Amino acid sequence: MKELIKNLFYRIKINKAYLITYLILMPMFIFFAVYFTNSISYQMQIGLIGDVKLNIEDQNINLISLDEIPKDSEFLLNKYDVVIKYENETYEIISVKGEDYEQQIMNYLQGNIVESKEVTRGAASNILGFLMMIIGLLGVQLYLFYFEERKGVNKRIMSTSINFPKYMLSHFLVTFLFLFLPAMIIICSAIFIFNIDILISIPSLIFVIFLLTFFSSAFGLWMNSVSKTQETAMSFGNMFAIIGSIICGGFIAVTDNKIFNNITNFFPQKQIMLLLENLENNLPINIFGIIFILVLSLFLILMAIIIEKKMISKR
Amino acid sequence: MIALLKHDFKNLMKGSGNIAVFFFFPTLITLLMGFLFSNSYTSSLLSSYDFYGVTMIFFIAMMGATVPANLFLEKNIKNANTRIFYSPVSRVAVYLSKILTCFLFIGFALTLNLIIFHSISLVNFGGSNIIYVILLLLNFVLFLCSLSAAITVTVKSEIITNIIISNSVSFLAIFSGIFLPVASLGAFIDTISNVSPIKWVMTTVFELIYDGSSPNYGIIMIGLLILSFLLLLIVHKKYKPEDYV
Repeated sequence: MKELIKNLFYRIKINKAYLITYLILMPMFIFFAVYFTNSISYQMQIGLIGDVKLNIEDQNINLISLDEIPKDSEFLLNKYDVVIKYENETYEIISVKGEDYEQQIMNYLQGNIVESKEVTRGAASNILGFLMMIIGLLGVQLYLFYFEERKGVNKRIMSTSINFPKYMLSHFLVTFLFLFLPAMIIICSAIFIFNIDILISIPSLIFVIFLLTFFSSAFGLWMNSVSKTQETAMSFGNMFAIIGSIICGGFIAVTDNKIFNNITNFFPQKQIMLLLENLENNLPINIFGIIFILVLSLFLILMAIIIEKKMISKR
Repeated sequence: MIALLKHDFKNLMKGSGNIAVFFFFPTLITLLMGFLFSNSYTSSLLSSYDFYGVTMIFFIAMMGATVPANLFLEKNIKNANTRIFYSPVSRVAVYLSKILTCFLFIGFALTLNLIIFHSISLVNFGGSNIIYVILLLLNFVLFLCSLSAAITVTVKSEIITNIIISNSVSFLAIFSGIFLPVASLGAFIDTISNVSPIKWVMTTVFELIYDGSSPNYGIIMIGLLILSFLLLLIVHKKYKPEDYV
């Protein structure tokens, strides 16, 4: 197994395309992800028509004076969250986000500041929430050698004393290392460089990164082992990474539909977000969530080994 | 040329993933996102399905940018490609047939989805303006196919092209706000999304559907065509069949 891993490293070293992918492109994407999320601020855009007097000093709210009601498409493209029109001493609220939302704004205008029930979402959630998608994408994409070997090299490797678990595990480990190390180094250094105020300790942050990369690599291994071609693996892997991150609240909180929440609880991404949320708010940690992620990852690796064993003669 | 088209088309269909992604994913993802964010869009003007039906089709079109890369460089079809290079067909026919195949396949699949959405009234495509929306979509797909081909022939590595394209697409998609019902993600990201073509195209489409007409429609259409043409010129200059043997 040591030899196999060494061999994979050697192949990364001698091939220019792979070297660029592993050492430049990948860390670059991770860096961008951290950099972008760090500059994200969810600003509410409020358009004002007429003589609206609002004493709002809030960084998260941007007030824009308008002459007339914006076109429908501007609402849809989220140029304005809401437009407040003041005429004949009454406020009119215009938005496309429904009555509940408008009522909230109305309450706010009348001075009833609603205590927000939401738990705080800190920098760590934001950074890792977006990184979850990127790591998910890369986790599937990085099994380059696995597909390269499918054309016959793998059979030759299998005919030596190396067995299937060792073979698959060495692929898994290389991918895992190339996800975990850059992600950890980049996030930790970004926290120091940009002076980001994360609400959780560095060791627990590293542990969450470990969970995330461990699962992504395991999922990638499984996805690649069941797919016929790398293209197929990538298409489905990409979809899972993007949709999974969105529905599990990687970017913003989504619907509070109960049935739906119960379903997404089975997504490891959701468990990671919950873990982060609890850590940031100093709530007790759900140990089952962590165990669930680890067990699921191990299960996926095991499945990948079994599938590889069964399919190798057919490919 | 027609024989080449047929050949490329067969190769494209071989990957079962392609058919699934372009024919079924738009519907699936629209229903999913529509359901998820149905609380965020509850006005009479539009439902969440109206919003995501439009954005997701364009998003899948963007994901499609990885397809031409595979047709150029996939290892399994390299042998067949090599044989074609040595036969007496022009260089232009070889790359043009690949780009055309992708364009026709993706364009057809997405248009079909769009028309189905429209006919079961799931998504509002602006009534009679739907034809303009389709034309813009096709134009956008053409642009993406040539962009992807241009990157492919420049980079010459399937892996790097795939990784660059699929990751950049996800970045752009998230930051252009086609997934999230949020107005602004801060000044820095607004600047990025304002220079991304997906943002321009989405703005035009929503103007077409909900305002009845778009002042920038002509400019965007011609702009995309010119860009596609320039990208094709790059392909023409850089594509050397010998490199792919």
